[in-house]
Amino acid sequence: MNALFTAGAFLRKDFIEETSYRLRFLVEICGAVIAIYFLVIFSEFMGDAVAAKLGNIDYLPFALVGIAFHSLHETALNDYSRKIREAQTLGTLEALISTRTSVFTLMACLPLYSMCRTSLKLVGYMLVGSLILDVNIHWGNWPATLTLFAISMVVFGCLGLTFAALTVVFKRTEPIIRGFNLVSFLLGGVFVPLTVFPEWMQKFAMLIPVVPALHGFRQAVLYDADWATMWPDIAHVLVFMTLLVPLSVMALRWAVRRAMLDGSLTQY
Amino acid sequence: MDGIEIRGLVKEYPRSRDLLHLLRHPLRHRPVTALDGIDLTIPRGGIYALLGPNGAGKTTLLKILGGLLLPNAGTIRIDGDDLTGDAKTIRERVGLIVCDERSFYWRLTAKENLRFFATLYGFRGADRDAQVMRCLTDAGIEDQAGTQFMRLSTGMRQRLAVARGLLLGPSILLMDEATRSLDPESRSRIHSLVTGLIDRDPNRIILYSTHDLAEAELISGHVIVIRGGKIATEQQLGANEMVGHTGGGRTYRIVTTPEISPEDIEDVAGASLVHTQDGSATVRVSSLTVFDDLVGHLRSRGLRLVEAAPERSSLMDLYMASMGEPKQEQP
Repeated sequence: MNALFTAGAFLRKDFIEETSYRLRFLVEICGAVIAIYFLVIFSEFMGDAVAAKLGNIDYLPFALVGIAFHSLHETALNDYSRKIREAQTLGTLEALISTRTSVFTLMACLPLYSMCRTSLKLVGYMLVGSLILDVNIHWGNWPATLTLFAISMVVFGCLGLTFAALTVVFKRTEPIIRGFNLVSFLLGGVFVPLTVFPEWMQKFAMLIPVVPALHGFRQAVLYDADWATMWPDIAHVLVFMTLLVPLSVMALRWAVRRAMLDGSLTQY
Repeated sequence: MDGIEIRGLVKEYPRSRDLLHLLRHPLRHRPVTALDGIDLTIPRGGIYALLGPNGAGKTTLLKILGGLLLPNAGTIRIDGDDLTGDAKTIRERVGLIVCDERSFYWRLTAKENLRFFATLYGFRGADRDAQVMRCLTDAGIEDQAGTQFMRLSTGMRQRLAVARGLLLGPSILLMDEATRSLDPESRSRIHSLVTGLIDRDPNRIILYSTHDLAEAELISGHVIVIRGGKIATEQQLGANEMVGHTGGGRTYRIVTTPEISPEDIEDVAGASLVHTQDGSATVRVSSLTVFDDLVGHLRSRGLRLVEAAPERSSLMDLYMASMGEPKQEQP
């Protein structure tokens, strides 16, 4: 219960901060419009080439869902670490930690607003696709879609927390995060289906959490897949969740304890 | 024992090494000792001034007591409970006032900042809002509640930091240079706020770190001098060599017209006449509030205050002796 109130406090605080910049939302919308516009142009060129190689694939919906869903993964990976660094450099981390809220809850809540904003952006992309770009988006199997979405968010959050733990100890971890993001972007099936890669690379890609999550999400919203069709992807993501939840908790506990021992928790 | 009991507290930081140093001496890692076996007992009730030069270990000690750092060795007992290594429980019992102005969200108002931190302290709904307003009022900045933090003056920001520390109403309060870079008026307000906290809850412990000896004398009844990570001196003000103090009280030399007489003072509770000499009177007051009462009382009896000055004490001598310096000459 306390964690929920803490989450609410962070969401409210970040919303107030963000709305204090008058043009913030306008800039955000402009960015999304530009991204979608270029995606449409890109699809015009790429679509035929990909379809020729892979058979009957409608490229714009494929890429639109890919880029929108991957942004969640990217936000989680970047923002947990970025927000901790930000709190260290701005000086708010010390004040946050000196409250009664556990350090784990604090760190988990720091990027919550970014995650919610990116989730809303995902919905926005789907709506634009559906209403303007004539993309056929299905919400028929929404329970399975929401289930997959929820467990994917947990997995991405845990990945973010694990990298955040590294940031707490080693401070400058951006190159590692960028590297991981790039690999997951290239091999995650965001712009091209996994089947274009050699078999060994496809097997390797199965170790990247965003791969089954994105595949399952596409199955649901583009092909109206039922539970049975989505189950392998959901199970795959559940395996990642089972591994990453305890790993991230242990990593962050270790990192915070170590930083409190060597006095570097609030240093940057 | 009620209060804080520290035994053999050691804190070592790894020495900061750049890449070149690490490559040259991969196996050499001598740590920096910030606290070197601190033994300290702080009974409940009173303001304790923590003095010492830069790098003496004051902030490290406060951060350990505030649950922000873990010690390498030693024990910390709070009200008899061994809380060594249990930073979370320490944070529940002890309030560390982080006075750094960077520790707030600049685009939020004073009230929004406190609301946010109050939620993290566990306050909910109407209780939280009432507590926030109470703390803003106690800090004397309720009229600035709706002002964005970035538009507050430095003094207001410091007071907001104190207000944040008061949210929880902790019975142990740690303050690290709460009046640093403040003008005299803002300092005086914070001093009144701090002494008022003890007036309201005499069982409270306030550990107040400062570089300012005059400030330490003004508000505290005890001084703890720390040097090189060790306790150099622990002294109750008013004892033995301390002149002009009595456990948190203070002695003033006052000059009035017409001249003061013993009857002018006897009606003021907490004030007593020490002696009169050459037209001036030396009076002892138990707190700043009593001093204010005394001034008002004298005025009501038709006496005009010409001069009021705190009696010079030997705290500077005590401090310098703790630092290993020779005693200063009396003026």
